[in-house]
Amino acid sequence: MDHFPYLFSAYAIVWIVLFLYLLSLDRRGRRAERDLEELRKLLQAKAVK
Amino acid sequence: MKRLGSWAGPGLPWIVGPGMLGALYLIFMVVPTERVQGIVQRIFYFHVPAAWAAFLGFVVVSVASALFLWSGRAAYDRVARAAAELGMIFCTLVLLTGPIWARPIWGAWWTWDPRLTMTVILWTIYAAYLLLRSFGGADEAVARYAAVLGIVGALDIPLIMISVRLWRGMHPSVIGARPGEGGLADPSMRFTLFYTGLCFVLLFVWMLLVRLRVLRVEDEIEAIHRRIHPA
Repeated sequence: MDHFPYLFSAYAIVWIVLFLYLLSLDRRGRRAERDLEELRKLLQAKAVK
Repeated sequence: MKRLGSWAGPGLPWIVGPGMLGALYLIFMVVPTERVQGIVQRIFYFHVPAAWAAFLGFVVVSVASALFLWSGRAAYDRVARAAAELGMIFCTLVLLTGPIWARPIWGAWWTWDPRLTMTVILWTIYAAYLLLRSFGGADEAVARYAAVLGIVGALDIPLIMISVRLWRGMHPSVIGARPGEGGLADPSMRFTLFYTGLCFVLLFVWMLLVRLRVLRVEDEIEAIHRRIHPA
């Protein structure tokens, strides 16, 4: 069991990296959808004028 | 995080999540501890599948890049960009977990073994690919240069696969070419490795679908901007 810290570190790193990537993906997606929605509204407003 | 599920179809996250929990159960509760390496050998069950997912990502980059060069369709370019990012994530995991296994087994975090060196080269090629995509702008010429880089980079994968046998480096051959070869003697070890490999492939597919969806929206925004402010 003296190598347990190595085993723990390896698995922790995998989960942390995957979690952070998924979190960033979610944030990028939400921001992109929000920007797209704002642009569409802007275009519609311009078209009405 | 709700959208991450809905963006890639309703089923996949519900397969990947429990599948990963099943993999952890197999790794920590079922497989026997390896006699020589001890518990640290269990790092293999995530290290090797991460390498498979990375290779899959870079193969997808090369195929999608070739199709983009041939047809000029932006959809293939998007697939290549998304797969390159994911390939890099998994390749980074390989390069982080490998040294953690190597330190107690080899007594060193790193050695310039042929397989390790080839993997660093692979990582560097696709890092260059992603830098080119990030800072090269939306120019189609940049997309074409990147596509060539994406195809050339994947040529390193077969070299990594055969490097253990070709140059007899320190890196162990986890799965041998013939029965009895390789480091996984117990059948449950092999089953766990392949099961975890399947889970990583499904995780890769799910993340690829989510990344593609985000890229589609980002490209749509870019197209609207170009329409409003033509160059």
